[in-house]
Amino acid sequence: MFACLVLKSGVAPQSCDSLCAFAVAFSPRIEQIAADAVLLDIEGLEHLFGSPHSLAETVAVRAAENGLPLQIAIASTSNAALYAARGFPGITVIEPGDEARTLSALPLTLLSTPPEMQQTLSLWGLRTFGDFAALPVSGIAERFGTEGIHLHRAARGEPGQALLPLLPDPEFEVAQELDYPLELLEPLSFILGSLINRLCAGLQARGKAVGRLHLQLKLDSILSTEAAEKSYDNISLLFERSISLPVPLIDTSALLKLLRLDLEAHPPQAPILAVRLRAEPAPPRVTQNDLFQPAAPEPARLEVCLARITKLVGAGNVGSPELIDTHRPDAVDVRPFRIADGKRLVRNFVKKLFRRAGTVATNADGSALLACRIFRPPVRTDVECSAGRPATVRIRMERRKVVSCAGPWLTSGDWWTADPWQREEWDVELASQREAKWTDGMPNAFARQRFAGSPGTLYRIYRELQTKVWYVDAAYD
Amino acid sequence: MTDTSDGSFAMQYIELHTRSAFSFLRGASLPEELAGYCAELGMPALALLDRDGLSGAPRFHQAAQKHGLRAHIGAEITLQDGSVLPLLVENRIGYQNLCRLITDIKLRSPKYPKASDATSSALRVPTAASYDALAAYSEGLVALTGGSNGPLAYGLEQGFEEARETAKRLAHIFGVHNLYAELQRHSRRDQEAQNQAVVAIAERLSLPLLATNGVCYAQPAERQILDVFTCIRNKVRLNTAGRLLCRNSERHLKPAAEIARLFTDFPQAVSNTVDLSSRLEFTLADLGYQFPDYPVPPGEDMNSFLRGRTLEGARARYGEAACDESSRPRRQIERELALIAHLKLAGYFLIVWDIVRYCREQGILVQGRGSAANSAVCYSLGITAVDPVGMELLFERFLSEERGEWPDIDLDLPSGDRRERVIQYVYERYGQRGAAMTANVITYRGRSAAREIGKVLGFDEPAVARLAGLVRTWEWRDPQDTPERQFHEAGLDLNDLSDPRIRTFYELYLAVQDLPRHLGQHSGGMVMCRGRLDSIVPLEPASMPGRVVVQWDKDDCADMGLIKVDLLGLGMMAVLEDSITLIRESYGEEVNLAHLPPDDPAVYSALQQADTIGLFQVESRAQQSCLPRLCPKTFYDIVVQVGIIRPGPIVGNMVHPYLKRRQGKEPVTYPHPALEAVLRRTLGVPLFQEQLLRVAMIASGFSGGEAEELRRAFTHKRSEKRMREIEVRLRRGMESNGIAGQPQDEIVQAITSFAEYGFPESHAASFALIAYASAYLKCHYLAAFTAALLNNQPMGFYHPATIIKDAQRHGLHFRPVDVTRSDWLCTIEKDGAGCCSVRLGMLYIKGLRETTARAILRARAERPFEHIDDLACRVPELHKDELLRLAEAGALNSVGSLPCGTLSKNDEQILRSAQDCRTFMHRRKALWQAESATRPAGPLFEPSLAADPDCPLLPMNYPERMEADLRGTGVTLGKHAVAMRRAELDREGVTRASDLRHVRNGAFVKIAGNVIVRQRPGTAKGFVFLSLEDETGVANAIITPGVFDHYRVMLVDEPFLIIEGVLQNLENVISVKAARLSPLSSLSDSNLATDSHDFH
Repeated sequence: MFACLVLKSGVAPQSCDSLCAFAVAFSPRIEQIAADAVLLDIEGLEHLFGSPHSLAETVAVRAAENGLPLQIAIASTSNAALYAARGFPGITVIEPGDEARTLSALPLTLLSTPPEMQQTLSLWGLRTFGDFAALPVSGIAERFGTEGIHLHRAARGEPGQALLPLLPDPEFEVAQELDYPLELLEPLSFILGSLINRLCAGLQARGKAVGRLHLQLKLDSILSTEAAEKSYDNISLLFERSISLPVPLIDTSALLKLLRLDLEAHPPQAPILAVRLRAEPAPPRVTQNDLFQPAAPEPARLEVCLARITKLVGAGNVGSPELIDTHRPDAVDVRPFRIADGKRLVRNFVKKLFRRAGTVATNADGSALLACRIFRPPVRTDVECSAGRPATVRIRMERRKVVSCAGPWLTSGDWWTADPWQREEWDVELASQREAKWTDGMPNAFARQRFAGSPGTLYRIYRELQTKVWYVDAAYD
Repeated sequence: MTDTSDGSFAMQYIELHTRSAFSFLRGASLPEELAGYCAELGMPALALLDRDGLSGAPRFHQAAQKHGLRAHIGAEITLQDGSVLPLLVENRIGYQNLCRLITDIKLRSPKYPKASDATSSALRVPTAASYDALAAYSEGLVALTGGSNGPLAYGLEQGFEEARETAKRLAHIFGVHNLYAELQRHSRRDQEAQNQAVVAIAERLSLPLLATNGVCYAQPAERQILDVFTCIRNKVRLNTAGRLLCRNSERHLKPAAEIARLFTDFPQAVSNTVDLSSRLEFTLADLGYQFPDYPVPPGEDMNSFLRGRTLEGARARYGEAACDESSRPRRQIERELALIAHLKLAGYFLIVWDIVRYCREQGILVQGRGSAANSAVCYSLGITAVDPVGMELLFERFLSEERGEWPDIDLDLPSGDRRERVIQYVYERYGQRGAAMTANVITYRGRSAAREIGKVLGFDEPAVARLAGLVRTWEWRDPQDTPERQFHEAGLDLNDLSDPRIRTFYELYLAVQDLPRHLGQHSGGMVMCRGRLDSIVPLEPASMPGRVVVQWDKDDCADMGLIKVDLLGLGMMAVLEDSITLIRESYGEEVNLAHLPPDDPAVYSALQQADTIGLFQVESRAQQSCLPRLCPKTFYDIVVQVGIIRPGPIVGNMVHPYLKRRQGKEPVTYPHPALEAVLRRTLGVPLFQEQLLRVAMIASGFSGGEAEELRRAFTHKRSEKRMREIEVRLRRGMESNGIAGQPQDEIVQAITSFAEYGFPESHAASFALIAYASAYLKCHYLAAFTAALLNNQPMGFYHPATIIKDAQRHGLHFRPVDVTRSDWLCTIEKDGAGCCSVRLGMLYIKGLRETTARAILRARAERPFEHIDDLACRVPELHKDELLRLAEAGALNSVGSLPCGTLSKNDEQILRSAQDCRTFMHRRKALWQAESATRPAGPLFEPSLAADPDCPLLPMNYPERMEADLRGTGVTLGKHAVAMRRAELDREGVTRASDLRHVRNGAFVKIAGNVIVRQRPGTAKGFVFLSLEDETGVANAIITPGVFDHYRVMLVDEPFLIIEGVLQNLENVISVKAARLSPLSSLSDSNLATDSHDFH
């Protein structure tokens, strides 16, 4: 015997989620046959709930208590239970042998037919299960094949496919309460190590790896002095971190290192009372290395390495640089680092960047003539113009005369956006000048040294036409 | 160098490398804008070099003439390596070579290359010239080395030596003095290296330098349009187009001073532009076009041959009157022949006569229309069917000495294959490169422009649909309909600063209006040439196989003096021809359209009652509302009827005065007694263009040619200055003839407001002939006419379903599509009593291909189909969905029921007449069997296939059959859908359409029906006209703008409506002025509605 529970139409999606949990309270063998329908094998439940009617009523009462608006049907076949539950309101109990007659009044639109077949049945003038069921099975087989036969059986309420019971997903979660609050990372590492070992053993037993790792720390309400001084309100009693892995990992030491690095970068603000680790399982990574290519670094080690770098330079600053396809100079994006083409990517990027930025001027025959050093970020400056051309440029706090200049080189774009840009570049040769001490503007010693230049140096300057601000962009060697 | 006002010397510069929007998505300004701005900059000349074509050249030439510029012609030619070589025309030989070069590369490539072609030859550009082709056509051309996509730039990518070799090769082809090293400066750093290389190569090869700006738009702001076009061309969005877009906005027309400043280091490059410009002597005024001669027998010249053919024809048309030299027809013919001989146009008339003769020999119906109907020579030659002498038409409207223009003869032919045969005859006669269709420049307008711009700006699909929806296709525009309001109604804020794309969309949408998108094919204009047409204008392949088009559109051809013959497809001509064939086959009668009884009472009765569904030109709602008032009694009344419902008479407020005078409610008066002769036939109201020309001739003393010049001055290309000049001449002439004061003002007002929109009388007369013929055939041979009408859909004003219902109301019987009886087209069947009925053809089965239907006919001709499996087996072309469509529409019901072909013709007819006695399978049984027949049984079971005698399915009921009919064929032969709800409608007090004539004027009525026409004409000030069809006929409703606003959604969406309002029955014109509307709910949700024709 089967029972089918179907949520009434228009019910909120969260109720769909709780339907299985509700059904499993009555029978261990359930199958979710649709988002809003669950089939229960109720064989033997009469000892617990009495007759099918009693069972159905009990289910209905409890459903009402749980706020689940259900249509319930009980029948000797899964098909009959399913379609009766879908088609009839309230409770329907079908006596064995009465399935076809009971279902015959249901509209044919309830039958799960492919759209093309639905259209054909409609053209045939069939409106109900009974109309369809009355057709000779040989005729249906001839026209729709096995699929037609299955649907024909379903319309007659005859047994369908065997129930595929829903098995609960194992939870990969480990936790440990601590005897006393921990304040240091070192002792916590031991506990984390042991928990990760247990977690990975469970995953490994089921042929899984860690796809994402969630750490939850319960913190002591007695705050450290330093934390208390900062802000009491901002500190929660639960501290949570999640680590996304580029590839599923089962390497315990790597996972521990990643966790440690993350905690070092984001330390909890109070002593720890309990630790909980949960893994989102994922199929382990299977790779076949190329016979003639050097093996790439282990993903686990690479991830640890990247995490270390991220800790140093900050999130968002680690990855593969990629030039954006635009005329806007220096438009660069950082994409997640990909191991396969890392070296080539960097090489190509540098080549493209140099070409795009015009860092190498060439002769007519293409041979290199000049190279230039680009300042990143560009240095803001003042330029005085005469007849629309730069006349003087302020370099190292001193204004220097422009001996000759070429330009303007004009670029503009993004005119359709709220952020259009326009830029006017000039190549200027400045008059000779004694070495002067740099006082402001340069970002670091390296740039200062490079920017100093020699007498008569060529510079590249530009003006953002939106803001009218001038910058020194580069110095030619 | 020229001396400027401040005493300094300014360098002169001429832009010799400009692309216009006629480079199709590679340029952003029209040639007129470029020429206008060039003139503003004070440049004496400009060269237009569109990509692989000369489509913009005529407009450029005309605009340049207007501004006093010299228009240099040239083109950018795509080479096989993908680079682009700019070529300038030096002399006529060069122009001819350029035309041939472009023709060669265009005709070598398919119009729409397949994707596989592109991948297989990735390196070869499909439409591209080889160096050999350049060498063959180099004479008279000057080449430039090009800008960043020129051959030199491409060579430089491979290295300096490669570029030098390319330059050497070009110098070898064109000669050192005809190859200029082109320098462009667009404020791009990378361009400088290229320029240095070009200068170095030029020095080594002694090539002259030439500064150009590679112009793509007139003014910097138009760079945005070019960016949008680039995206459309590359099928990308602005956000993802990256470096495909322009780097800056420097490719605009620049003044000489700015160019001189840019090229201070190469002043000779600037001065060379002036030198080169002075070398380029060719303009389009020197085209060298000649119309082909007509071959005449020895001893005759074209004039004498034409005279002979004309007089032969005149005797047939006018009888002995044509022999009498003093008779009016003969005098007119002699006058025309003298003018034709004087203008050397005999060849043209003979060529048109030759086409008409070919049509007659082939049995293809042909009739000239337009201004040619004013010519007695055309009438005598059989080109036109209207007697211009009898109708006193104005010959000068067709041809005049003053105008110096070629005459324009339009030939109406049956649309479809027959017209194509005539077109192919012209190609055969004058050679593939001696004749071609004129082009039609497709421009950015309406929803397609909105969609493309919306996509390019990155709007998602729903937003693009909303934006495109803002472009109203309704002819009438509400004055309150500001863009702000339209955008607001669509949920978009034009002033939303957070999303500037909406404002940008609006601005771009306006900016691209009327810019060319691609070249299409004109519906029927053909140009011919003595010698090779590809020496006059480049030719391109049309998308239709076997056709070639010139790169100029109809107007450009006319402006450039190319003679055009319009071979226009007219659906009604095909209907008339098909009707005649059907009458011959079914009625055994021969109908000659030239000899129809001229005063058939049935025809005039039908016209007077506005019973005109399916008739030519007089079937529209507006015509129907005018017919009872005009009450035609003679052929000339039909001419007036055809000409009166036109924008000219409507806008000029001529309709009501004419109708009132006709009904005797207003006295017939004339602006001046001298005009009585001209306006008498139209009761003192000018209705036709010819009348206005005559008025000008009589009142102001204009000659015929001057009057025609007046008409042209007021056409769509009107010039204010020219109009004022002509008005002054008009008034001066009238004053000298003693017409002054109010009459003068009235006449001037009539002429100026009417000349543009007025309909030519000759044209109306030609159409009236066809309208009369269609009415005659409908009245006397309804079955044949209806079958022919149904076979030539879509055409006219009404859906086939309405035509069928109308014919049924006239007593015609129809029989459904039947694979055992039907042909592809609708046919006529006779019953035992000799009554004709129309058998619907298989072309009405939606989704059935003609090839499949023909295969069914072939298989049927061998032996009848025993059952549906037999049909499916013997017609392998038949797809499953086609078989199911046939079954659903009831076309398989009689399969296996009648042993077609095995009986004698008589027996078959007897059986057909007694078909009700036969056993038919019902549609569901056919569907049941068809479903089984289309499943592959496998070789093992195939021999045992046979019809399953039992079907468990119930037959369809009536509404189901009707729904299946409409779904499967779009028409139903049974009752009207509204008839099924008549009892319910009677209870609600709804009046039938046919009963409205018995309701008194001013009564409040309810009408209901299927909406078959929705109209909102531009001349009706926002009023909407609706036609509702029920089982008894068509009822008309008028919706005021206020009611329309209130019920807008219902009016647009609901297929069945109930309309309540006051009945207006004025002079037998019946309509209901709607006050309230509601959906006919019991039918609205059904699928029983037929499609309506909306928004004409």
